[in-house]
Amino acid sequence: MSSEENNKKTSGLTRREFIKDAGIVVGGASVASMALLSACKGDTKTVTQTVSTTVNKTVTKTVTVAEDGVELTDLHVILNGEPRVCHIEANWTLRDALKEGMGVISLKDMCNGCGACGSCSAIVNGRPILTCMALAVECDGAEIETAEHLGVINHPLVNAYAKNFCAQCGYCTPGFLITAKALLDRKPNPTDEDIIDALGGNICRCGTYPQHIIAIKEAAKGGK
Amino acid sequence: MKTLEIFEHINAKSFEDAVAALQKGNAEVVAGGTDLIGTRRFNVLPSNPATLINLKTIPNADYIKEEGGFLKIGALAKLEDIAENDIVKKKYAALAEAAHKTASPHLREMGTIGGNICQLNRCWFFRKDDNYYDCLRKGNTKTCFALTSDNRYHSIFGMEKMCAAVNPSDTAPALVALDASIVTTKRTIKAEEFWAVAIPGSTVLDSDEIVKEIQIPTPASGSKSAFKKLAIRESIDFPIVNCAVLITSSGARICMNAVHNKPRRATDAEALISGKTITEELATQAGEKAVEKAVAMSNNKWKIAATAGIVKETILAAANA
Amino acid sequence: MSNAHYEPWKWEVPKTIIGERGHIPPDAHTKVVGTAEFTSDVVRPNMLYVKYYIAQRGAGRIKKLDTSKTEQVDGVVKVLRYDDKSIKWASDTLKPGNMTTFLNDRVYWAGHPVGFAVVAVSEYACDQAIKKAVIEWEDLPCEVDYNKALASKDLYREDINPQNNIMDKGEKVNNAIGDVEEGFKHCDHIIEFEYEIAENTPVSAEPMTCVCEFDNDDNCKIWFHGQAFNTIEEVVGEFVPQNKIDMHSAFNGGTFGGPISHQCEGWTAWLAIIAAYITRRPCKSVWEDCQFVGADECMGHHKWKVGYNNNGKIIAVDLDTVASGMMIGGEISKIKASTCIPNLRHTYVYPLYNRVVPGVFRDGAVAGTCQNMLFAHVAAALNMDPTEVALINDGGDGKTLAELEPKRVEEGFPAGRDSLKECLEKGKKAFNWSSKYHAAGARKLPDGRMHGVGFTWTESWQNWPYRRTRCGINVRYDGTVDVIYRRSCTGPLVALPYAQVVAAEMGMKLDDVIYQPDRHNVGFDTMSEASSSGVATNLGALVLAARKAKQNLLEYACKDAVTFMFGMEIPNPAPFTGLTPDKLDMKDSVIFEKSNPSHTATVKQVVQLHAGWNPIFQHEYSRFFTEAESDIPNYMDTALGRQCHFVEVAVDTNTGKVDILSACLVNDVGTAINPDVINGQQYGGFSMGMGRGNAQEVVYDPVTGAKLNDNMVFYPILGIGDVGPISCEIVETKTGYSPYGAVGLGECGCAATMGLTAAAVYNAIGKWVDIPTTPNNVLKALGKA
Repeated sequence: MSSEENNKKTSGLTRREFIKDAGIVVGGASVASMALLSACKGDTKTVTQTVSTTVNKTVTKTVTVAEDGVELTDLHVILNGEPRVCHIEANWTLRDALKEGMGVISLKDMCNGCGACGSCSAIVNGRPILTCMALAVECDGAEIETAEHLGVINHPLVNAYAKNFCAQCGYCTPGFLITAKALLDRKPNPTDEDIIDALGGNICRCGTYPQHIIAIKEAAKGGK
Repeated sequence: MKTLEIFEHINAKSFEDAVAALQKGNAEVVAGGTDLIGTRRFNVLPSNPATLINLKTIPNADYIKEEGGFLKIGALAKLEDIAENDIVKKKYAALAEAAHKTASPHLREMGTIGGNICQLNRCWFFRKDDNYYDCLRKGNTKTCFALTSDNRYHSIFGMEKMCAAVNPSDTAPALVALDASIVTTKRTIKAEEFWAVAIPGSTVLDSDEIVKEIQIPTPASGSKSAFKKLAIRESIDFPIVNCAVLITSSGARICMNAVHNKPRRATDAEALISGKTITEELATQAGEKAVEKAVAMSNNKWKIAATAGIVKETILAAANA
Repeated sequence: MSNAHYEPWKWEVPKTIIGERGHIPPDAHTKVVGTAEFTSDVVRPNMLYVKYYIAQRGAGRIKKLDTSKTEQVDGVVKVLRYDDKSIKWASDTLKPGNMTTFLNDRVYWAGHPVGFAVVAVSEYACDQAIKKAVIEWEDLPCEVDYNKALASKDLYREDINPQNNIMDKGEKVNNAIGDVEEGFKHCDHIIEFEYEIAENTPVSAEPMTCVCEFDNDDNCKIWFHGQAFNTIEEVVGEFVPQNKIDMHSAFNGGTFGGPISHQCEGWTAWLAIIAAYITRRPCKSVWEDCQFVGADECMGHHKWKVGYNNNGKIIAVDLDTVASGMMIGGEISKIKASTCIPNLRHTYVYPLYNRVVPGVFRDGAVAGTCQNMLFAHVAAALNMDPTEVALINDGGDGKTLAELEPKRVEEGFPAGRDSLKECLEKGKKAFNWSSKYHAAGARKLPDGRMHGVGFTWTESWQNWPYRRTRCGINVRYDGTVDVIYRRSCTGPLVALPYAQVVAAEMGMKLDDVIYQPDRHNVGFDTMSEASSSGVATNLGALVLAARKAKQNLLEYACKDAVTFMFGMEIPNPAPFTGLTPDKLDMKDSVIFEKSNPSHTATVKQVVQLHAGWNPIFQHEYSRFFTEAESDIPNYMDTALGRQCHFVEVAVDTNTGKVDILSACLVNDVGTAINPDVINGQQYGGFSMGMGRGNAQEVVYDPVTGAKLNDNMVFYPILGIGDVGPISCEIVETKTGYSPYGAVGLGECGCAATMGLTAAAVYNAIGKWVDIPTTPNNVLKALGKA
């Protein structure tokens, strides 16, 4: 059903008129406000989608329609070890979902989404990827680790990064941190070359690069 | 960050599934998504198909294995896995090196070999946001903007179908040098014949055709291959020019890319070095031979010299592998 | 200049904490794990998004703007049109610099906000709505080549100059001393050379954004992303009284001066302010492409005529530039400030065309590059070690060091320190100059590439307190201290060294002192501490406020208190009752009697004694708040501090590729407050300098004026693998006019090193190359293109 058709179906008003008249204000896409919207609208549709992980699974999803005409669905992930769910819009990237729906702010954006900075990095199903280039609808069921988690578990990288001045303005640092963690998960004792190779997709405008090599090797030694 | 248009999304269960969805029309496939997402986000094309068909849900499409005298790689194999694979590194070094030098580590963890060889070109007129340059590769006009503007990175071997954009793939020349074949849902195509000037695409694929597998004949023992790339940066950058070389006891295969609309064999250079001991002088001559037919545009003459240089260096690297 | 007694360079450097390594910046952990909230992370309830329409073309005027379909897009709340008279598009405070108003119908350069902006519930709705606008353009003459612009009769910036395409309406002379024509008559050799420097653009780390909200009582909250907080307070003050403004500084991705230099931070804020004021909802303005708005001062054509003697002494320098510069000081400002060259002249023509009028990011790059090129050419012509040529010409304002020193000694600076000599000694050793330096074209590496080294030197220019600044010191109920400043975060790590200064001066443990990150509703205005001259300008206020805070504590430590409780006065003797403050001192947050050091009291005890101990009532510790103002010294002569930098490259003559093998940066910082932070500015700035000198240039389409590489795919910001090992050396000659003789260096790593690869490439291949030294330029210089 197109968004135009949805417009007409909603109590005879267009969605924007409905919202203005009803005095409902909706910003962002928080679960609460979406619930309010769907409760007031009462106009949802149900679609059947296959879950897009390595296992072929069929899950029935309820799709609601957001204020800007975009269809919502829901996304289930294991985020930093916890099962989480949020409504997403169909055209969202994984970064959008994690930021808007699950409060993850470590996923930055330096390159405006052209895949050239690494600031939005997270580990998804064991791989360090760019969350701004992954579609949220394709990540259902994914296991995701973000930089925040390393602070929670006090990973040796955190102190090593903090004390070795790997962060100046700090904007790119979480992207480096989680990428470094992915490296250590695979190569617990990386050489300088390994590190330079693994961090090739992370851009730091402040130029902190030499410090990452020091910090990662320090963390590899258990933080000594 | 700029946002994507709404799309319908289908998870394909098999290649047949995906083909059927393509045949319904107004649809395109998505593998790693690292080209497609950017193309859509920046509104590069006048319009995008309404439906995305996800190929990543097709089981058993990302294998890397040797079988029956061939290296067989499923189209959905990630570039990083290819780059790190011991067999590929050992016996198909040019491909491992090319995959390794592609993009950045994160993009290699997402990007697939199938997607890499099907990617759209990176001409900065073609790629300007919001279809600002509605060029002939978009299908509405016959204009090539590079002809009358800054073409420093554009083709040095002429303009096929009046387009000056180069093919930006790093794995493509390695596949050609290694004499690969591309197996699709319809046919098997020699790598050399796979690329084309299409609208907006870069391959000969039909609109309902999907790459399934790459096949590379296992080179005879004693063969050596290498890949080299010229770019401003060590990582992330697309090639200014790249080259892959395979040297066997019987001859050589040299393929350049990012110098023309399609990857380009340097057959004259191959003939020059075939069966010979590679010296620096011979490699230099081969490099010059490879660009003998090059034709500069208004500001890319330097690229001809750079190409000769890269071909030379790749030949030497292969010889010393 | 008022205060003959204000001589902060004479102030004694505290023996502890200043100069220490190994401290962790206060926000390090939160930044590292990504829980630090940046301006682009700020989300407010019911927040709306605002985006400008951005023109891609280089010139044009909107003839007709149809936003009817834009308004109808789902989720759009308002379309802000340039011709809507009810919207305040012109600010009294914020002069747009590159535009007459913030939003109008005219495009002067690609990337320009024009025509309208959209306020909507999501970025998606904004993007969809913007696409629906239909614009009919009037094509106007467009020129991105400055030579053509100068020769053309068409006007490209009639808003700046309605008569012709020259800024300031004529050619100018800048920074002349002596008589160059006369000088050329009396020297052994004259060389002439010229080169081109391409345009660079700032590419700040974080896309420009601002969040603003007004409630129905006109109270305003604003999260500003930029340097000019004081200005933005005035800007918001054009809408509501300033006492209704709650200003916030979240963390900000590094901006390096670009957005303030080109006013983009102001325009982004203005958009959020207008939208918020009209809608009475929180509004977040997002200007993604802002990173590529802005040009640097260096671009253009430099044409030199230099007269010098056989011994390396430079006699006359005549530089003519087209397009570049015109920022602070100009092209030969540092040559003038740091050498004894007696005859200097710089003439320039500044064209107006369809590019942004250049500003700065890392100010000083053009002057640093010019000094680099001058000395590299003279040294090359003489086949002389450039470090020797540097020493021979060291000085300032045409005078030698020997001529300059007496006055400095009179002013109270240490005698007999030769900053350049000391920098060279450290640098040459660390870099292994003696084994790496060779004549041009003389060394081929085993892999066939040509080896080259580049050297540059200049003054350490951030050595003056530009203006008076103030700061406050708060002592809390538990004896911990915070420093009250108006923070303007643009990235550099100043919190730590500033806290070190306060802790050291007060006698506090460093852990007990913090430079409070987000206090804006106060009048303590400093030079944006993360700006060009942060250290130089702000140290005075920090030291004086710290000393005052200490004195205050010592006084209260001697003063008995009286506690009122239930109508009774209960005397409460001070720990040092009967003593006077001069008998006391502080160390590690403990006050002690000098002649009897075991007689102690903690700061906490003194505060709590006087702040009230009754848990029912508020702790009243405001009597421990102090503040102070710095002054400007009576004299601020030539900077005698120096910096010098070395780079080692390998040039692939087959492909033109220049690889940066290693580097050494040396900076005389006067007195080092935090060597870790200093090193961070050195190696960090170097990466940016190498990017600007060896990789980056903005490319335009000469036909439409559009930018062709305004994204991070095609505009190559260097990564971890693009520069080899960097060693960093610190020299301390106490040469600055700030407290402890300190000198700032935030710009130096980048601004002074931009030309290094050009010098190094010459040393490698014996050919001069335009900047950046990219493969195409190198191959052209080699005659292969």
